[in-house]
Amino acid sequence: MSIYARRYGSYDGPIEPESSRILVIAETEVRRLLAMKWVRRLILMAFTPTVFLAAMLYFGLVVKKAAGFDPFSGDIFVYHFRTATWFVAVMMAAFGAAMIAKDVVTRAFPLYFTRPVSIRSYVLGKLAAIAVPVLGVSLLPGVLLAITQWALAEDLSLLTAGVTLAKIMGASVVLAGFASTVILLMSSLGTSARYVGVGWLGLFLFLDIAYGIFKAAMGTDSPLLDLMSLRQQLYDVYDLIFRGDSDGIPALVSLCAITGFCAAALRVRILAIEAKNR
Amino acid sequence: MSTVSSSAAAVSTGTVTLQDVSRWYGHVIALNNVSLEIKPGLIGLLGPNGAGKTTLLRLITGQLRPTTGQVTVLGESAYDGIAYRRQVGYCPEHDYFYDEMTGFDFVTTMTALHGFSKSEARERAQAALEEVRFPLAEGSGTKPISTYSKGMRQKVKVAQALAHDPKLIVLDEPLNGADPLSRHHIMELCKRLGQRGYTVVISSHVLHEVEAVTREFILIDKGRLVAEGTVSAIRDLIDRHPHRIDVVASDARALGSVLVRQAFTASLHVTSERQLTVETPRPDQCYQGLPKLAAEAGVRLLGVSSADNSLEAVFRYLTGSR
Amino acid sequence: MSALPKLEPLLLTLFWRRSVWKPRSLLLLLLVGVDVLGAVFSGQVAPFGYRSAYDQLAADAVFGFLLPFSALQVGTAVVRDEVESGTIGYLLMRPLTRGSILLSRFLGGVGVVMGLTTLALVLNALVMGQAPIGELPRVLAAALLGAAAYTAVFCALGVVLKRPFVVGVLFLLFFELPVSRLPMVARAITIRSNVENLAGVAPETKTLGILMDVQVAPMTSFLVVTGVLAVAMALAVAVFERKEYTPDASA
Repeated sequence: MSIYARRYGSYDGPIEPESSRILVIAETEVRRLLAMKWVRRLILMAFTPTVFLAAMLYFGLVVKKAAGFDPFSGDIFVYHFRTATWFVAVMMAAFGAAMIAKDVVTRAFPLYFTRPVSIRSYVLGKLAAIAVPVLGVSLLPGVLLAITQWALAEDLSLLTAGVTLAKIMGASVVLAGFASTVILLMSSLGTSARYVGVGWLGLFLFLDIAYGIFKAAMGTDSPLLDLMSLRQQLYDVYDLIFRGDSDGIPALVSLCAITGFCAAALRVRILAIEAKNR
Repeated sequence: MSTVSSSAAAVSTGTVTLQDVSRWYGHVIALNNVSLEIKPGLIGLLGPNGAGKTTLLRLITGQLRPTTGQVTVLGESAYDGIAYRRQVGYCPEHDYFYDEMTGFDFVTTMTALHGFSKSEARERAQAALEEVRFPLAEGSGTKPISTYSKGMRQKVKVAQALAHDPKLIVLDEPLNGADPLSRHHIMELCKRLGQRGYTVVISSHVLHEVEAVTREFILIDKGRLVAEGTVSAIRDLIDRHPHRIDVVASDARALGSVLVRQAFTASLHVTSERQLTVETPRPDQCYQGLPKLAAEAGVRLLGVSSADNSLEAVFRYLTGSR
Repeated sequence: MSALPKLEPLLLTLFWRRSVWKPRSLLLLLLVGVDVLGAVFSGQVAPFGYRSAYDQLAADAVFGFLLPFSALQVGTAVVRDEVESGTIGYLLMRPLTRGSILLSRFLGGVGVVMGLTTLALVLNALVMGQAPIGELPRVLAAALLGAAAYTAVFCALGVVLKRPFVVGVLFLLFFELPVSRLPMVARAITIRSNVENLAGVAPETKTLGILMDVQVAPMTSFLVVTGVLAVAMALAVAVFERKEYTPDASA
């Protein structure tokens, strides 16, 4: 019997657009990530400071801006994003580091690229996948805080709440975009997720330690010196978004440049790996 | 030489003894109350995927602890014993390697971990790799394992299991990925080792290849010991089940009319003008009587065969698969 | 299995071969390089609370980052690397006690961490030219104890857990590093603070003034660090001897 008689013939039906493949990759990876109990635990743990900050909001109201703390200013979100940054650092080291490295080590690239999947779809799919848990520890608790703040406010202004939500989304996008792109590039450079993870922490912490030493040695507090530390750059951007501190502009420009550079380098790197595997 | 015995005697003479061994993974039972004794010789461990072959081998090699029962290897508890490990060689099913090492380095290191001096380990590694026909002379010995083909990796795994000259050699699917010549060579090597008095246990799903080198088998299915011993002994055990004999003759219908009257015939099917199948609980009588009966019927006998004599048929029958 | 674990030199060199002689090990050397770069640029002025700039670099960069994070990388690999690559079966099948396998690989790990730490501390001293050379043996001895304690903790995590790296990062980022800079005696429960104390590079005054000035006796620090080392190794050996390690043992 001919195999074609079993209807293994060519498919003439409609084909989903390219973007659907991004979603397939992202969905698969997100499922894999969320199946890990440590990812779920980390997301839950990231809510602990949120609960603490929500309590601060409530007690801040009770003591009426005691100790210079204004419960309706952007400060609460600055604190939230600062703690979220550390959770994101851990997540990137622990889970983001394996995102491409495991495909390199298992030689899974042909599985993707022998199908009509472009490098752009592959990268965007992975980027979206790693961004989901990042948003889980930054955007989600941030929105909950905003709702708490709005519920405790006297005027219940939707406009103010909308602006706050937009700011939270902006800060989350900067954090998720930057962290995901950098870790994906690093992940594509190695085969051992653990080494990539330590490399990421090295970049994140060591630059910060060096920044601390320089700052102490030079005795200055310049926004340009802040560019030494990735952590400080993120903190400066939060200050820019939630406090309107213009000293954060160089940091925002720098983070965007780093993200863009890493995205371009990532594309080149994946092209190289694919060519090697071919 | 009988190499497998089902009753694990109190005073064991076997290389490996399993007594009422069960192994659970959480709520899943992988091996269910297995008792057997493995004596020197080449033994094939057969069973479908998920039957519990790898679990049994891991219990024998002390990688797993039995949930109940006892596994004894060369007089020591398999999981807790240390000294007996000097006498055990194990080739895992999957390709687990220090990928950055060369094949020669890998076998040398694994041999040296048995306590051999560096130079002795090197000599043994070289000999073992040559024994499995690893292409050392072609420069493969200097390349990292990550660059090896599946067949070459298989040879390295087998070599590391043999290099320290163990009494018990456990090979989990050693033919996977090997080319036909290598498969034949590995099986012949195992056969020779079995004949020399080593205890060689091979798990495989390629029945005919194992059947070609040994008649001793352990059959497991769904975690249970289904049968053990030689193929003919197993066949005898299941002879209550009618044995199918295919007969090719010049006139199948005429021969059938004679055969159907015989006491040994349980049933008969004429499949074509020249072919018929007899089902009989007494195959020996059928084989002996066929030429005479054909002559009486004036029929020319062109061929007699039985698929039921093959290991595969026994296996299919015992495991209930089609 | 009750026999005392002993060092198997071949296992130690096997660990080094696998974990050191690889291009990716350059990453760890890069961390030393960044530290030395810090030494070049950090100047000679002792920042507030520290006796010297060398002390600050040793406390913050070496004991606060290089040592614990290289120990995290190496310590979690002591057992987990073999389990993940499936090669653990080869080692467990050899006529060696599990205790000896663990001890040999652990010592290999301590060697790697100590090598990196020594390199950083000595290069810092040479580059800065202000290190009290006479005190270097004391600093190195404290570093050795710290390397052993951290590696033991991460090795134990690798023996017990499937994902030791995640727990290790959390332990360092949310316990070791912040708590070691907490006021009062609370910091004495961290390995880092006790190692700094033993090395004599701990900050003398912290930001909160008098609350920070509670000093811990070196003997107490020694007992805390050796205690952590002993407990972690005892736990690691006890679990390693009982636990089954096959690639799909959890199946």
